Amino acid sequence: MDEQEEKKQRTRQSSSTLRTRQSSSTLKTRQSSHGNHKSQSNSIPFDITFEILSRLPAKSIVRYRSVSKLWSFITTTPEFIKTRSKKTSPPCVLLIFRKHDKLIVFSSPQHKNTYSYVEDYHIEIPKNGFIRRLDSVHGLICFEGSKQLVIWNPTMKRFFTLPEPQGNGDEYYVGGFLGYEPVEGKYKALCIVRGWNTQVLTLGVQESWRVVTKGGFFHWPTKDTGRCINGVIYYKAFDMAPRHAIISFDLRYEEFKLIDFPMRDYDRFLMVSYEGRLALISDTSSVVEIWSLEDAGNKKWSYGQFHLSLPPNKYLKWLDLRGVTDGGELIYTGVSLNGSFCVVYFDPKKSSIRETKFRGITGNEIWQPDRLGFDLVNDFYVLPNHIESFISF
Amino acid sequence: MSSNKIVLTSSDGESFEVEEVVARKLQIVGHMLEDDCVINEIPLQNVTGDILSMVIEYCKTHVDEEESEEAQTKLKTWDEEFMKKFDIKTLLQIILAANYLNVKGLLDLVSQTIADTIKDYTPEQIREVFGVENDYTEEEEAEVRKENAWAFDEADTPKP
Repeated sequence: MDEQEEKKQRTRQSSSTLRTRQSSSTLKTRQSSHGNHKSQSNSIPFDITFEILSRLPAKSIVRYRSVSKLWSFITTTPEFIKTRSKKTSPPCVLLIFRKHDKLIVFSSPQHKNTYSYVEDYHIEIPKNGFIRRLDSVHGLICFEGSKQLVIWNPTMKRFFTLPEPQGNGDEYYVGGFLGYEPVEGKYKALCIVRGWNTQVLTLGVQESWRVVTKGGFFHWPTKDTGRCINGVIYYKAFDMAPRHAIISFDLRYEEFKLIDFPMRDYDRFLMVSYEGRLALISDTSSVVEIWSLEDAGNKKWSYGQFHLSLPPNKYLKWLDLRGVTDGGELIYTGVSLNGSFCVVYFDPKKSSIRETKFRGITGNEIWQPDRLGFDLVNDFYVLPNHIESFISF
Repeated sequence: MSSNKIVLTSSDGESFEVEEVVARKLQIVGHMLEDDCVINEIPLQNVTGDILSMVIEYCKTHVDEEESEEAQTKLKTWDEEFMKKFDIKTLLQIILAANYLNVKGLLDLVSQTIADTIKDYTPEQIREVFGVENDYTEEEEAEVRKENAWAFDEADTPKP
């Protein structure tokens, strides 16, 4: 037999082995797993498995974590998350309604123009957890607890409780933020205990809280603001004076900075990421004002305003400004004349409007106004730019 | 374009005579032709005749991909019909072949078709079809399943 013939023979053998292996019973696979690691040369190669997995719905990916350790591992790698975000999962807007200790979550693709696919599910707020602000940080959401922070991964529908910070007695509330540092691809949490005591924790490396030493100063975060933009966490706080200020915390260098507050109105604004920068937006009367942080080093703000041209007769209630997409569209929510809950995207540069109706919300237990027109929802949050994440800690 | 003929031979000795433009859709062949222009018979050792014939059928159809929307829609419909012919085991053999022969378009198409086919499988079915060894201990597997219990709940399947 010549070499060519021999090779053919081998290939034929290996392809028939493939067939046999594929039809082998689960029991058999199970048994071999307890023995030594058998070669997987006849099974599907890593890169093909990766390619197929990256095209599955999130629910299937989560289910197939129990196939094997490798299958579970693939989906947590940064390469996987990157590939997937390009292919199948554009950013979503999450709508979260709170009713007592329950959250009802809807998600909808942010860039689609027409009626969008809406996924909804209920979750319980973790014990002792409560919500002052909600933001989707590279796919994860942070709850503040009475003693520790809780991280929620909506894609996997799982919670991860972070360790307690150092030196926090029993009675102090822990204010904290979650951030994502894109250069090293790491999530970090920041907490402020009693004003002075600022600590940072890198998620997933099993370390404990570290006290921040660079640029620390006394400050007290105020409620419901906080954004992570390009590896920097920003939030509003009172400084020592006491004076309203913006605090920035650089996640890579773990350093604080104090930035002057640009507006006169300290309460009625939204803190958003606008064109990749921190911006404060206020929409009193029909004028939208935007203060945008041009240069964090020199603490320089720029100011702009534009008139809002939403058609008011179309909607039952005047629309409320809720956030901004990464594409620079302002997000409003409201109820249209036919009673359906809607999200309206307004692009100030093009003066264009598009709308998404959330059919599931009308008629649902969560969106039923009482006789006076007040709805029964305790709280309502809009989280733009949410992406999938299969990370766990 | 040259109408030179190339003979492709499968691992089980089946030969296919195709035009050079079709053969070049298999990037592995394209590279060989660049290295040495005089080859006209190419042995492909990792793919059997029945699978190779399907890959060739795909390449023939996609040989001149026109930009026009009409042509694209037509191709897309053809792709869908073509994929309907195969069961999961054949699809996996085609993807292995597309990977080895380096046919990008077919690789994308089959990956998506496989993903659509297996999305409701159980982990046991996945192991069987993909030939994956379960390297979890029973306790570990129970733990992973518990953590991700919602993904097993059929009543929770997203509404269309």
